[in-house]
This record gives sequence, C-alpha cells and structure tokens, in this order.
Amino acid sequence: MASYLLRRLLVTFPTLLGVSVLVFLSLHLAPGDPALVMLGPKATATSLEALRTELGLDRPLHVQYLRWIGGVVSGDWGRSIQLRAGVLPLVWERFQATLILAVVAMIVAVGIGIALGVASAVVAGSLLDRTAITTTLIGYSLPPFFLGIVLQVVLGLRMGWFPVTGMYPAGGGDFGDLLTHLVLPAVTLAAGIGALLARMTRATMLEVLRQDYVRTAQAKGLTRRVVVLQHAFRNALIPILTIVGLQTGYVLGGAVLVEQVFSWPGIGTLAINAILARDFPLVQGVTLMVAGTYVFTNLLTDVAYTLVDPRISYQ
Amino acid sequence: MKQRRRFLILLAAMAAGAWAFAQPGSQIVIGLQAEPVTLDVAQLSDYNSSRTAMPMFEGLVRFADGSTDVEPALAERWDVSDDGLVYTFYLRPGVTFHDGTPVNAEAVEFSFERQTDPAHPYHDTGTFPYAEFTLGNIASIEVVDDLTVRLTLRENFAPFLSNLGMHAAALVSPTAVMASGADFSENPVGAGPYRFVSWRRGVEVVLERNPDYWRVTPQVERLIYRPIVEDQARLAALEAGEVDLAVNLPPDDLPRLRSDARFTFAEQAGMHTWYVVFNVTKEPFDDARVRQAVAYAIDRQAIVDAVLGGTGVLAKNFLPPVVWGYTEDVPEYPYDPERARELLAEAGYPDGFEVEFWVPASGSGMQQPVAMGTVIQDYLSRVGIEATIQQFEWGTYLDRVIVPLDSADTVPAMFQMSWIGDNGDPDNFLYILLSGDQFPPFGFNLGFYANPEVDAILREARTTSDHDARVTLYEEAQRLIMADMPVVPVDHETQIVIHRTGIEGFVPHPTGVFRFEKVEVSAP
Repeated sequence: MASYLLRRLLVTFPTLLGVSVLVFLSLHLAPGDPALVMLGPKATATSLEALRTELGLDRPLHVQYLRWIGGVVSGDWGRSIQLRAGVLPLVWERFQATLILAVVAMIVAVGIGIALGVASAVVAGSLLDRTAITTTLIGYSLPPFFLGIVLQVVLGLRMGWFPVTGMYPAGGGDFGDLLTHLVLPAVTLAAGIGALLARMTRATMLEVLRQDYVRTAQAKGLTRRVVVLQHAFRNALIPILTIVGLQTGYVLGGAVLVEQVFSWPGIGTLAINAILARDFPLVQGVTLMVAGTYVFTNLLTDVAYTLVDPRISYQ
Repeated sequence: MKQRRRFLILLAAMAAGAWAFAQPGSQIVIGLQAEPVTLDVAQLSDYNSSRTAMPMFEGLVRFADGSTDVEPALAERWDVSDDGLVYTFYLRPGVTFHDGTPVNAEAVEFSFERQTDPAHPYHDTGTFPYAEFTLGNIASIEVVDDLTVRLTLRENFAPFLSNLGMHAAALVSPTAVMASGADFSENPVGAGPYRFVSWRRGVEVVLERNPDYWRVTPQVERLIYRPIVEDQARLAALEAGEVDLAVNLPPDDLPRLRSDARFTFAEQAGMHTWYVVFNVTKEPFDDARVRQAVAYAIDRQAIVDAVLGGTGVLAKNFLPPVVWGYTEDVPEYPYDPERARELLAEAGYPDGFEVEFWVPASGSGMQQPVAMGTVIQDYLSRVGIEATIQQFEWGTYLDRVIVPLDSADTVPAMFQMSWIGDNGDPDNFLYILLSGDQFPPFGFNLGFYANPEVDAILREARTTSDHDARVTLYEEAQRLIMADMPVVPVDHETQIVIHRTGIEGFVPHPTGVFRFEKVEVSAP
C-alpha cells in the first residue's frame, strides 16, 4: 500500500507539470496584452513598454515559463498582475471559501443522493420511486446558474429565509451567519451531483438486489434492513464511489458558476476576473490549485476503494 | 419554574443580542461591479477602485459636487503666472493625513514625483497609468516653504488645473508610502473624509469616517464596499437589503425598481460618449459622404429608447452635454434612410457595400455592445450596407483596435468604442480622440481622422488661458467635426445609482466617483 501511494504521488508531478505547460501556453498564445488591459486604453506607449519589461513579458516564452515554474516549486507563485499581490496567498485565501462550499455541497449531495437512491431502489416502481426519478431528472437537467437564481428569488427574496449573496453579512459575522449564507449556494451546487448520485445508486442497488447472495441472505431470515444496508449497499458502493470521486472535479468547476450567482468569494470569481484581465500568474496559480485538488481527490478515491472492498488491494 | 425563568432570560438576552447586531451604527453597504484592483489613488484606472479609494483622498483642488468646476481643496488658493506656466499653491494650514503626519509642500512634491520621476526612491511602489496624462506636463516642483509649492509647466496647457482635480493628483502620506512600499496599495493613507480600516480580498473593503476631516464631519460612520460581479446578484442583494446602494443593475429591472418605494434613484448625465469609429484610411469611409450616410441610416433615438431602456441620452454631438463648451449648434443627423441612400449614390455606392464591423462582448463604458451592434447592423442593411459583425472579448478587442498608423489596415472599417471623461475639459474628448496629433500609440484617435483646420483649433484651444475664447474655439471645432462625421456618436450613458430610501443627500458625480461626506442615513 505504502509503495503504491508513493508511486501514485510520483505520477502526480508529471501530471501537474503537464497541466502547467498547457495552461501557460494557452494563456500566452491567446491574444490580449495584460499590460494594455491593466493600464487601460489611456496608457501611453512608454508606460506600456515599461510595464511589459517589469512583468518580464518581453522575455522569450520558455524563459518566462521556467522562471515561473521554478518559483512555483520554491513556493513563490509570482505576483498577480492585476491585483498587485502575491498569487499564493490570494489563491489560498479564496480557495478556502471554495473548499467550504464544495465540501458542504458534496456532503449534502452524497447524503441525500445515496439515501434517495437506496430508498427508491428498495421500493422500485412505487410512487416514491417514480417521484424520486422525476425529481432527480429535473435536478440533473437544471443548469446550476438557473436553479441558483430561482432559489435566490424564491427562498431569498420572496420568503426572506436565507441571505442571497456573500459568505457573511457586510462587516463580518459568526459561524451561524456562515451556515445561513451556505444554504442556497450549497443546495444549488449539490442538486446536479445529488441527482446523478441518486440515479446511479438506484441503478446499482437494483442490480445488486437481484443477485443470488441477496436472495440467500433473505432466505437465511436476515431482516430487510440488514440485507439492504450490509449485504447489498456495500457491494453497490464501488461504482458510487467512482462517481463521487469524479464529481469532485465537477464541483470545483460548478462552483465557478454558483459562486458568480451568489457572489461567493471563492476561487471561481477570482479566476474569471483573472482571465478577463489577462492576469497570467493568477490564472496559472488558480489552475494549478484546482488541478492539484483534482489529482489529489482521485488518489483519495483509489485509496477509499480498498477500505470499502477488501478484494481490492494495491500490492 | 426556575428553569423556565432562566430560559426566558436567555431568550431575552439572545433577542437583545440580535437587536444589537441589527443596529450597526450608521453604515452604507455599497455593491460594486467587481473587486477594487488597488486603493492607491496614483494607480487607479477603473471605477470600482476609484469609487472605493477616492473617499480616502483629496488633492490640491477638487471638482465641485455635481460638476467638474474646480474648487479649492487642500490648497486654499493659488496664483497662475501670466504666461500660464507657473502655478503657486498655498496649502491649508493644520490639515493632516490619517496617520497624523502634516499635509505640506513636501507631500505634494513626494506624491507627484513618486509617479513621474523614474529615479524617485518610491517610484517602484506601483504602476501609474495616469501619471503622464495628469502630471506629465510638470517640468519642476519647488517647495517654497512648508505650505507653499510652485509647479512649473513645460508648456502652457489650459486644462492643467482640471487635471489636478483628478485622482492621480491626490496627495498621499509620504510616511505611509515609505512604511508600506508596494503594499501602500492595500494600506492607503490620505487626507480624505474617510480612512482605511480593512480589505478582505473578494469579500469587502471597510472604511470609517475621518473625524478630523477639514471640510465637514462625515455623518455616516462606516462604508463597506462589496464586490458583486453578477448584475442579477447585485440586484438580489439590494432587494434583500444586503447592500444599500448599487450601480449597473439590469436595465430591464429599472422600471420595476423605480415604482418601488423602498428604493431611490440618483441619476447624473454621464461624462461619457458611445460611438462608432470609422477607419478613415480605408475605403469607403475615406469619403465623408459615406460616413454621413451611415449617421443618417441609424435611428439612434430608437437605440437609446429600446436597447438602452433610457439609461442613456441621444448624442446630438460628440461632446457630452455635461462638459462645458458643449453646443447643439452643429449639423444634425436625424434618422433619414432616404437621405442616406442619396449620399451613398453620390459617393458612388448606389447599391451599398459590404463592411466588417467589430464589436466587443463587453467592456468599460461599452453599455450593451452586442445588442447595439446588432441593431446598427440591421439599420445599415436597410440602406444596402451589409455589415458583418465580428465579436471579441474586451482584452483582445483593445489589443486589436489600438494600433499605430502603419498598421491601420489591420483595423476594420467600422468598430465600436466609448470614452469616459477624466477631467471635464473639452480637450479631454476632442483633442485626445479626434486630433491628428493623437494617433495611437500616443493618443486615442483610433480611426486616424485628421482635419488640419480642426487640429489647428484644438491646438490653439489647449494653450489658451481665456475661458470664453476656449469656448468659442471648441464650438467651432464641434461644428467642423460633426460635418466631417469621423465617428457616429450614439449616446451619453446616464449614471444611475440606486439606493435604499432613507439615505439622504447622495449625489452622483460626473466623474463617476462616490462622495459620502455629506450623506446621512436614517434607520433601515
């Protein structure tokens, strides 16, 4: 196991390196001059030239890349062109907000999705099952930005139950404020994933419930509860776990949209502004952070397989 | 029983706590379109930054409330030499920056030279996009005594005093810049009515009132600026009471908000022009008749009413009405497709022509570029001009349309642009945007229009000290320009600020900055 983990970690580095090259090239080859965007149309040619030199944009591309990647390795992620501050602290601060949103959304999605999936598989064909299928279809089809606006208008503005923007009230707040501010964005983000998980869980559970060993377990006289939760569900978990792992990437992507709708101060809003401003170091930092998280969660998923299914081991 | 009483006391305490939280003292929460980029006045180049930073700063002079007339600020008075080259400013005694250090002649020298002198020890504490525009004409700065400073100009430049009212000419605390270095951008110290408290990236900037502000004691205790990028989210935040004041709300929602007693509109005719530029180095727009035909072919009033929903006013002239020197005594171009076809036929295009029309997806001051572009395309097709729209993201767009004359053929024959005035002087629109001296990369005359007669007038006007003489010159320039029609001005955007009813005395400023020192709030 330890050697497997080590090998996986080693493979992580070339992956991230590949990501860094791709991001770097796609940004620097796209049209748009960060100096011009930063100084605005009223800048003079001299000040533009000076800024390009200051930012190192006049150097050859490979020199710029090596300088950047060398810095990243030593913990210096460069300085944001637009926000005039260190990239790593900027990205890290905003990433925490995204992480809070993503983790809560995943908990909601996994909790509700799996429970709903198991329940509707057990009573397949019933009214509950059919309602669940329809609801999850809708949940899965609604684009997050649309669902977000609907929730915002109905539960936030009409009912006044939840705050509609931000992470805390203006001027700051406590943990309770954070929770109320989390409700709408987390539900919005969780809806699609939860629905997908519910449908996946239902399908796998239905398949498992038809297996011979389930019939055997029932024949032994075990309670329905034990059969479903201990015998069937555990075996249905592997494909579900895969989906959960994959969806973590989706959550980070979806968070970008949801953050916009609810003005959540996460990495998504940071990334969009950075791209529009051609803020190369910042976009690179954000992408690297997201890619790193994605690679890391995949690793965690693989490890989780061994915990769920003793037949899987990495020797 | 005892248990129950304790529970009741607890409840009461909680309720009291909640009440205390709901009464935050007087504060105004402002919904910005995006996060400020910097809070250093010398580095500002966008509205979100200037709206947040400007309450913390003041310069030698400033624009009066609601106009761009220059009035005394940190300088009580000033003299100008007869040749217009030497300005002597007498500073207000006893004024201090927020850090307690004095506002004196040395602070003026420091604030200006930090931006303009590459050898200045603190020049590397930022990038100063407006330094050359605002202060570039200063040849030398002399500290006469503690409260007297003398500026000598390179050339007589009439709008100089107006430039000193701009943000880049505001004074910064030298002590604070020396202490913070490049981080002054996040720890600003000026002498304005509000002072800096905190900045949580992506979340909010908090300012508190400066009790020592020399002009008045501000009534509102705290200002909180929150970036809410999505227009729809900003609207929701305003309606939910999470922000008290917001700008750039979706035009479709404005009529509904107008009839809602919870909200009050504060409007200001903008120092802004939205226009279509012709690349006059290219056929067919090297012919003034074709340019005039395009102006006649577009129903600009309909665009203002239907596309902009009344968030702008029809541009009868290139100069916005809020800028002095504006005249309506210029050639008019009412919607007249018949006249457009005649002009096209005269110019040798009886069947019209095909043309490329560039449009940005969005952009500062560009309003609704795609919708406006599509409507213009439709109007043009009715007189036989087939325009093909090509759309770009703003950063790319600027990169492509701001090119020097030797690359003029890479710029299409027709594209959109807008301009937001800086100092309220006609020179800032007419000379910079339409003088033959101002081709990129040095200026912003993107269509390469050059009329020697106009150029001579504009040059004379910027070196003439007499105000009335300047007005006459600019009126003449406007007539000539509108006859040549090098650009089609479409509208001047109205600044619409919506705030909750109960905020009293908020008046938007033509320069787009927010002023709060005379604003009062009643309970929410």
